[in-house]
Amino acid sequence: MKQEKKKHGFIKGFLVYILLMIALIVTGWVVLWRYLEHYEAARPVVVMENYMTQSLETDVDTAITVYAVERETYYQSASEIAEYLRGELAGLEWNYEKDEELSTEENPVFVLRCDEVALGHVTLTHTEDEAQMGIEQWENPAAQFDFDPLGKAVSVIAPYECTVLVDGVQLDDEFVTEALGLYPQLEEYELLITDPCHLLVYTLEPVFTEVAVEFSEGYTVLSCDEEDVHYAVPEFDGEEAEQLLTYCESFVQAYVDFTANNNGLWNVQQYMVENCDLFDEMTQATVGLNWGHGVNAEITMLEIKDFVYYGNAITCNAVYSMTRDDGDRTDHMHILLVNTEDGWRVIHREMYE
Amino acid sequence: METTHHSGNKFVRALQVTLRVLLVFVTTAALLCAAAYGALYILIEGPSPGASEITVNIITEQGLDWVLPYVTEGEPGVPSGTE
Repeated sequence: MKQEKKKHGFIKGFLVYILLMIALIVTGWVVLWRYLEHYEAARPVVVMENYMTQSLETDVDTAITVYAVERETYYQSASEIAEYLRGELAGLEWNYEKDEELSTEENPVFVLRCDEVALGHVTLTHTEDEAQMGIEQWENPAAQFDFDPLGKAVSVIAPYECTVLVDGVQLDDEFVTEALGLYPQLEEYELLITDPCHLLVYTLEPVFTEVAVEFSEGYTVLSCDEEDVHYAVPEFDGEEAEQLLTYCESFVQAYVDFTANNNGLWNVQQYMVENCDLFDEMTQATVGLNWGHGVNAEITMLEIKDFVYYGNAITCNAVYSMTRDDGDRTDHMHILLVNTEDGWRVIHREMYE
Repeated sequence: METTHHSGNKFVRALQVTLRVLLVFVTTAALLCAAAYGALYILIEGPSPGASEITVNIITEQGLDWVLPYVTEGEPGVPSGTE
């Protein structure tokens, strides 16, 4: 009887032990599950995911409104800026990436990109609430946006005497970012052009609308390939321009006469700045007889085009066809003229394809 | 006779105690295995992909890749829930 009791006692005790163990294990699993839930919720990446889906759109919209007011100028209204930005960003996908440089242990920072363009930062901070299960939670992310990269920079390069008007309003010194002594188009001839120009570079940035750039009387727009750069060059007197076109034609004719037909060194040198490199090169050519002569070329077509007056220099391109002993050909010559005491003279020429 | 009977009882009791200890030991081991399996399963398949990545990294760093096929349905070394 006693033995039976002992036996049952063991079975009971064993069952209680198993049940307690099972309860303990299940409790452990539940605690682990809940801990992982909190861990997951506290991960900065998850906080960011939630931010992206729940708050980003509203934040961007608000930021655009504030930004547009800050960037409002006389040539672009806040509503135009806001409309442009909303249009640009519509339908584009935002993504985020941790900014390792800005992030700290306390504050992870994420870069917000839209179509690969970085337009903002999100900084996470710890909540003031007590940590749940020992895991710190992150505060609602604070986002800062900068839409400058979506705007364009409009540059205006003009002589300092020239008045620049943008949408009818004169640009003041506030917009001047640089002073130049030479137009960028002439930079490669920097050593040849000794007479400097006094140019100012105006920069409008960021610009979200189309702006109309005009110059005061006496200046004209120089067309160029750069879409958002406007050059003002002095207007050239029409009659003098005609004379210079003829002058350039005569130079090319004389140049071909000399180089192909060995006809008259002085005839071509009279068009040049005395003792410039080109002048000396031609003199040297006749001394060493290392110049190609005797081809007998005759110009059948000559056109001077792309004539640009910069104030202190003139550039143009000559396109001419020749009938030569060794076959017909067409050449292209880029010509640079500078103003001397004797008037405009050629200081440089180069052939191009 | 009585001595023989007495020593027989002692042997039975000793055997009984040994079996009980063994039973408790085996049961405890089985429960601990189940607990570990469950914990590992929760870590890998549970609510946190972040935790699963860490767990899988630890396991693979420790050279225990063979564990994974038993707790995940995917490829060993690739935590479920991550691409």
